[in-house]
Amino acid sequence: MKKSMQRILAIVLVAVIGVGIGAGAYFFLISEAAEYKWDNTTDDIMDTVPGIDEEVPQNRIIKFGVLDDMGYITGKGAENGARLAAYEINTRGGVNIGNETYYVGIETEDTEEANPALDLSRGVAAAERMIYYKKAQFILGGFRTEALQAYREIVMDAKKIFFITGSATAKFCQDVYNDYNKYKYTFRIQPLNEVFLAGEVIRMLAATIVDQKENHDKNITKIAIMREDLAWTARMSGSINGLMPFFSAFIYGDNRLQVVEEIAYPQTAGPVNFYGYWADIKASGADVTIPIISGPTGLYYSDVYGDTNQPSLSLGINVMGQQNIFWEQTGGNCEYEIAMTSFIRHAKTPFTIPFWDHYVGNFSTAPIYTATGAYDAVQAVVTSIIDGQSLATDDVLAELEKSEWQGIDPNWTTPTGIPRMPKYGMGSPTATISFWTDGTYHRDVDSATAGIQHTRHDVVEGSEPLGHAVFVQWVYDSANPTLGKWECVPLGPIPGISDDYMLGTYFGLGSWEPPMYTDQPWGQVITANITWPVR
Amino acid sequence: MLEIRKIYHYYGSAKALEEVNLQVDEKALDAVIGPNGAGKTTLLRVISGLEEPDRGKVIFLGERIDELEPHEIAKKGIAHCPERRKLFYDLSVLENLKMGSFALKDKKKFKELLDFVYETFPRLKERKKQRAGTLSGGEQQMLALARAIMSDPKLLLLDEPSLGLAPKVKAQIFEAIKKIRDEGTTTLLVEQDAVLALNVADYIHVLEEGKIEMRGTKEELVKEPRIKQVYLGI
Amino acid sequence: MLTDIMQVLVLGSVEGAVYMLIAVGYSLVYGTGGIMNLAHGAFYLIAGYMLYWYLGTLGLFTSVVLALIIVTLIGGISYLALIKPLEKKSQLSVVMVTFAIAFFIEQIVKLGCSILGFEKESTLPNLIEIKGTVSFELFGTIIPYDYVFILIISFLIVSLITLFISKSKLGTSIRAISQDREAATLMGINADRVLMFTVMISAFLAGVAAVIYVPSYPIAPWQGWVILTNSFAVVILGGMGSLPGSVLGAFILSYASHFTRVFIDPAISTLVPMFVIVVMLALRPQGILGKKEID
Repeated sequence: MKKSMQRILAIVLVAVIGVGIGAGAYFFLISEAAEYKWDNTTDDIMDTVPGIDEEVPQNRIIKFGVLDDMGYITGKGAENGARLAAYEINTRGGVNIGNETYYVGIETEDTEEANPALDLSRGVAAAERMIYYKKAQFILGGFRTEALQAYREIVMDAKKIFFITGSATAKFCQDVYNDYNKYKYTFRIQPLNEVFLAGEVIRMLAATIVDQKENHDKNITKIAIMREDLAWTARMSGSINGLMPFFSAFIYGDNRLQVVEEIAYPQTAGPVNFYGYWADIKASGADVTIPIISGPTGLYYSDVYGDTNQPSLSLGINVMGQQNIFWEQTGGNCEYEIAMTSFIRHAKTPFTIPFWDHYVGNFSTAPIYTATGAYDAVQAVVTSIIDGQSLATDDVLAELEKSEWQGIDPNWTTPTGIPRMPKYGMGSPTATISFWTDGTYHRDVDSATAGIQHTRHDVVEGSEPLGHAVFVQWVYDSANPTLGKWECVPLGPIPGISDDYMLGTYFGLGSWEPPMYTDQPWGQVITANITWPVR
Repeated sequence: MLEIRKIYHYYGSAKALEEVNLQVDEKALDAVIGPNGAGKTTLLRVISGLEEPDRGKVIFLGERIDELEPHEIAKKGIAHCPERRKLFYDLSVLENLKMGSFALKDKKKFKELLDFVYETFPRLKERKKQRAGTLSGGEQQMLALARAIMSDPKLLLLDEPSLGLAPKVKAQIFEAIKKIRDEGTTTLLVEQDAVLALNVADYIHVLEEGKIEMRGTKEELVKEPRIKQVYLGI
Repeated sequence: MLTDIMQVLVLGSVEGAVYMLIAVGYSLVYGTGGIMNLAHGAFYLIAGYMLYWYLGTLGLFTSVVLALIIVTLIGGISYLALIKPLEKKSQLSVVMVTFAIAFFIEQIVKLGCSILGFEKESTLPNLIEIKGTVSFELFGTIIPYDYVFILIISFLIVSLITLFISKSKLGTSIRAISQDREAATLMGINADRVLMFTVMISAFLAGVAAVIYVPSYPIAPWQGWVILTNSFAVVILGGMGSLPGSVLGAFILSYASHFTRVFIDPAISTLVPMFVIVVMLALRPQGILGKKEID
């Protein structure tokens, strides 16, 4: 035993020494040359420091690192959104801290998290490289929960501010509440967190059913759900299933409204599988099919939806359907599909339309939700840097967490004249929805007087009611038959159904007393006509 | 003590043992001799359970053992000292001996056996901390023999203990085998060196091409012209 | 730059220590029984997930103990019910059955997640928090307390296992079987039972690795295969069946992977284990500290 212990110790010693020597040699011989440089030469928006046409000293770059699947739309969106923000800030003269001018730089690392056979070590490796070699000071990106969980640990251990720009998982910010010391650097900005997401889909479903009944004399009774087999979709489907009897009782006075078919498919499913799924749904006679899909399989979903002439209306979450080239991608098969998206080209905030147009002008494509998340994340961090006059992580964090935020003011600018994103939702006491991470939710109440401890890391963009999601329907456009068009299906407040009730139900916390609906006609809910599939 | 009844054993379609009958009495030292490939090693492997016979029975102390696992047979009191020694070469001499007495529960008996082994093979005592792989061929054979004794067996199976050894060492080993027999351990010895076997064994079985061709005491067998010619070279 | 190298060394050491635990178990089973256990990564996986599942209701200590007990039992049952009956037939069928066990466990994990709502408890707390901080700084290098804990526990457990194998009777019989299984059975050693114990020990080690590492490095159902290929690379590098080799291989591979991912390219770093497997098999199949041949 002595011998093998000695052997092990000797080996460990040799390993440590060997690595030590290697690292030492590396440091003395090549490290200067190997030090990563944020190289910039042109003012191209795709260059490292967008909008600046000369080399910027390394210590004058505010370094933002984007971690995402760079081969998937979420990653491209996050990168482009960050670049657009950097471009706007840099071309307006950069950021002044004291007497020095800084510029915003963007670098990316690929986490390959869209891969169905997810390898967590890929994202962890990307995070380590971004932080320890590329020396990014602020991190943003990420959309797949399981992958994020792994590489967020690296970012948190390194004490870097991390804006999650693509995962709906509310747990990320609940961690901030539960374990502030470790997770205080986490922010989550896009999309709406899953709690609101579920609420939005349910609201839309209810509104649609009522609208069809009151205005079009059509009774919707059969609901189908098709979802990726993931935990968050399971929870969302659970809450839809749970609410069905109540909707049925309120709307029809009996229990005829039911979920007749539910398909949870693996992310590895291919087009052939979808013909099977859709055949099942068609056979079930569903009136409405709810997709809950964040990954690339959303393309097959819509492709086969049109290809098999499904009579049901598709209404739900399909991230692929948020792209403006979706009509082209599916060859028009996505017609009639209603997709939920975070925003479209409408004045959700005073900045939405300028942002949209600037984005399309630069990248010739409409921004998806990760693009606006990344754009706002860069803006929010830079605004906080300017306010705190410091680049230090903890100073920026303190600024981001400040509660005394102002409401919407289009003329609101920084001291250097840069328009800034109002920090909606990060604890504004007057005008926004803030998600209280102890599992309750709250709006329009001064948090100070409510006296409930909460964190302000789960950001909602746009103040109420603009903080809501919007629903768009893909329809044929005779002026542009190859591209189709989005038609917004605006959703007014649902009379009588308070969101407290919906979300309380979701969490199993709220009161189960049936709300009263008699005071308002249901027909006011949908403010534009839904085009029903004609097959 | 040991009775083998009509054992047949095949390796695929190749016949190794054919209707072998054999009986070893208590406290006897029996030997099986025969040319290379006659099935001697197979016979021992069948007894210790390393091979399952295709037909026939092995009865030890009135109990059928041919369907038991090797480690169960070992616990019944049969120690098999295998061909080419098969020591645990990376274990020390002492650890090898301890492994030999794996099935032995009695600590005091272990002490006694260890003393006996060290007395018989003083070389092993000198080298008890040494790895078995570093011993010379003769010492390794001593260790193999000692390891087999360490289980305090009722029946000892020895497979070619003289293989590859110098004549002087062979003599030492056979000295030890006699000593073990005198202590009262029943022994079944398989040996190619017929002269050695005839000198030490009480009763000899001649195995040729998987069949017992002849058997008898030394005195009986030396009279046989075939034995004289083939095995003793007289 | 030096602090960054230090930081990468810290990250590499922690992962190295964890892979040491995983690979020592893998190597032990291979060295003793010649069993290529493809379910080894799955043992890690299920132990890690059990921690997630139990934590909410049972608290940290009970969850850890229960996860370790169950994963050890899963190891034993896998051997008794599936590996042992096939062992006498052929090596290939053993490999196939461990492959099947791995897939089975992966599906169990997925099923468990959809039943128990994995994400609800998806973030594990820090194991160690001192005065409201989760890490300390040493010459500008951030070192979480959990990392120190992981290093201490892994070395402690590996030392205990080494002690156990070199000192105890069961440990000696494990070594005896690994050298000559047939001779060991002739000594009255029940090789099947000892092998069952080694599989249980290896499952236990994988379980320990999971419970100490998962709070710092969460898992996903596919991750079992990554763990498996990496530990395979470690034992190929260190030497099949050589425990000191596994220790050495774990650290070399982990440092190599971390330096590659940070200073060269993350995409290449995931190829490092595959590269090691191919190159070592071609040049020195017995590994750095292995015996002349794999048998």
